[in-house]
Amino acid sequence: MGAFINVRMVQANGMDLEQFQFDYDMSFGVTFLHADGTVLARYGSRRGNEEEAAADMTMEGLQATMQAVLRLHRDFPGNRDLLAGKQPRRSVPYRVPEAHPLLNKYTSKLDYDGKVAGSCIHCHQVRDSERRVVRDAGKVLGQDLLSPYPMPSLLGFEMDPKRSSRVLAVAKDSLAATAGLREGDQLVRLNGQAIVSLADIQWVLHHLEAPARLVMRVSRGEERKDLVLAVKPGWDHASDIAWRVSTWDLRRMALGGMYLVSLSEAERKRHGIAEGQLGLLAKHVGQYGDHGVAKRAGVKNGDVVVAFDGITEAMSESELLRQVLGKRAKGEEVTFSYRRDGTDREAKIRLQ
Amino acid sequence: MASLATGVAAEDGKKRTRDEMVHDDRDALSENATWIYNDLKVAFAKAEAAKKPLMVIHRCIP
Repeated sequence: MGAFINVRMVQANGMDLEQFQFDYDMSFGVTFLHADGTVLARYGSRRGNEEEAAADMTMEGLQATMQAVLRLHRDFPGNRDLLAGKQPRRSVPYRVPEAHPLLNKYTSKLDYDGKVAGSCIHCHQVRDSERRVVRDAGKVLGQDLLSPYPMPSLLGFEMDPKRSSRVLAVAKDSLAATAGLREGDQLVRLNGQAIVSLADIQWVLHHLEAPARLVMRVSRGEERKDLVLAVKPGWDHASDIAWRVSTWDLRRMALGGMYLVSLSEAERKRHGIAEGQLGLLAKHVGQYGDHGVAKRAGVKNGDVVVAFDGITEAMSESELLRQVLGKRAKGEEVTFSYRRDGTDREAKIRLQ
Repeated sequence: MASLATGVAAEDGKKRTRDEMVHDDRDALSENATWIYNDLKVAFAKAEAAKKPLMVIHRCIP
């Protein structure tokens, strides 16, 4: 750690959004920078469920990334071209979170003399606010706002969490496998960007506009190869956003405050949900205010949603949110059906 | 490093309020020579002077 200037930031208040762009749903993230502000790398990733999430970030992995960052720093500015794609996008609507109209009750500093926790802007509130502005303008949400920082598993490969850029596994018949990626490959570059962490990969995928070519430069023994993936629109449709803290607000917007989870096979049978049919259990139904819309429409914990806005085919909550918020605007009314004790009931809610 | 990166536990083992945890975090780390606490201006200046890279940890205190 002595090789770095170490900074601990515990709030988003005053955070320069033209400087710091990363997965704002992460409760732990790292940005590595040169003293001139050039981003060298990012670190901090997690996937869906909590059991798997613990494996995505390891001390060994962070240390491996730190070592790789020191090499990037040593070679800077001669390697500036490898870092160009990592730099933050300059077109942000608000320079700091508290400048956003939805966050203007906050100031740039924490109130350590008062209610300090309440004075803190959480990073996820940045994306919450971006989405609300779009919804309030009567627009639908794009995939970049709905499914940020997708995981490479959607393309068929997993990275070793204990190393900075080693491919841990490649799924058979996946896009990555078809392109020739193999377990053990070192992923050196992705679309020309130096890769030293899973977060670096997610940064590339977050900004990918399909259809697109994804060029992976891998190191395999003494060999270096360029592998090309042809990424088509919808490639990230299976991205799991359920774990994200910012998804709570999406549930308010699209589901009236319901938190839905997929049924197990046994549960599907018990509820009489046929294979291929939509069956999402209302694990929690919001109780108050804007989060209590589904509750006031009659839904209770334990009910099973079997149809939503004409959607009756099986899908996850994440995919349902994407479909609804990607095509329906605030204020539109949707009809849905839920099953309770073997009987289907219908309800309507107005989207937020 | 793990505890500094991931949080500071209360020494007395009692459940802390969120306000207390935020205070505890600052109290534990703001005087720690290894860390610059919530001050990027100072951090960038030190990085320039020392010719070192910055490692900026964004940590939401749970």
